[in-house]
Amino acid sequence: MRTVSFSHPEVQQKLASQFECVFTDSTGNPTAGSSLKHAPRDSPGPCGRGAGRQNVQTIFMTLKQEIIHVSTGFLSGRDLVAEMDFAKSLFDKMLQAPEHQASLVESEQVRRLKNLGFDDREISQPFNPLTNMMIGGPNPKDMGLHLPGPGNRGQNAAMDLFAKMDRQRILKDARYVIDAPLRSRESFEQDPGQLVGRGKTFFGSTGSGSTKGSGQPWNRSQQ
Amino acid sequence: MNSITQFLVPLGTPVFLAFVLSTAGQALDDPLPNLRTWKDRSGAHQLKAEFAGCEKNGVRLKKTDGSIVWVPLKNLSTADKWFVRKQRQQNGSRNLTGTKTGELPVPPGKAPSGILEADPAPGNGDAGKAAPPRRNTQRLFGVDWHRTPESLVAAASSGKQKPILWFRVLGDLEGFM
Repeated sequence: MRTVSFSHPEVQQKLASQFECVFTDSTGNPTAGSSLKHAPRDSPGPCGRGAGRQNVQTIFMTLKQEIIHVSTGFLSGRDLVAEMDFAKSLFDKMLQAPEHQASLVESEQVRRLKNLGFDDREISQPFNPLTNMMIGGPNPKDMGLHLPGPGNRGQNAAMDLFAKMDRQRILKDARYVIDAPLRSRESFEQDPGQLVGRGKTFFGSTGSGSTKGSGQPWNRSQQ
Repeated sequence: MNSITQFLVPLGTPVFLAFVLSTAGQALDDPLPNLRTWKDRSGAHQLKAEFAGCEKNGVRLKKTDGSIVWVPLKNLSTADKWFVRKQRQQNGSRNLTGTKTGELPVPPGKAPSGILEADPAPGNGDAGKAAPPRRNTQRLFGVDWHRTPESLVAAASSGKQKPILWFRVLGDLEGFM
């Protein structure tokens, strides 16, 4: 996200003008994944939306540090702008209705999911273990692999599955907020695993020059 | 089942390895990482030398002919001060600049690779001057980043009506995913 997302001029403009920005290092947290470390201007490697969700979380909060929106994993510049626009719009609505903030967060999150094509059943049904594995697992798109299309039935089936993984990642993030609107930052930090899962993951790219390990990937992957 | 989906499901376990190889843009490390062109504050004078350590309120520089010169920190360009700071951090030694982390002046324009880059403030046409120091924030990609959520307490009481964007990531502002 260093190079791809933060080099996006609209991202920089919105970050600087519309948000109070916080950057913290999750290295050492029990739920953190592992990655390689890249300097801010290193060239990027290929990455798909939501990849490395244990490594990076974009969390939107009120100034009281209550969570109103989250997005885990990699976001392209365009995706990050969309997430920022939604969070800013939600925040502005909350300012207009301070007595109904929690219900507003919930209803706006549900409305957004429906706009993205989710139905009531998807939004309300619990995640099953297979879904959770899919969300945490590798999507070939995360690695910059693209299947040519339109192809044979097998390729189309695979693409459908990968698209579903992206959707499930979006749904899981939104459900985290819907299940507890205005969750406090402290509550999140007590158990980030509720959002990012409890598996040990490594996601890294060697597409750039100076890479240093962060989070001791090899030790972690052997746990 | 397609062969790729067969590959996918077994990997969908709590432990997985997604190691991405890319051949594009592979930068090579400088074989003499400390040999650099040092500039003074005005940018009018420069010297090609190796960083040879800190002494008092200055740095010792080893010139290409082997001689050592001492240069006061205050005479160095902002980018060079950052380089010195980086060297000192890597060596785990005291910050000779006397400034705290996050309070260092930001170098205008392009900083050396691997060093926290700072973009000039919008509308600031004076490239020779550093931006004013900021407390509790660091500047990256044109954005002032608070380094802890707690540091936002002051912002919350300032009357600003902005949401917080908290970027929680493996690494720090000088290198992350």
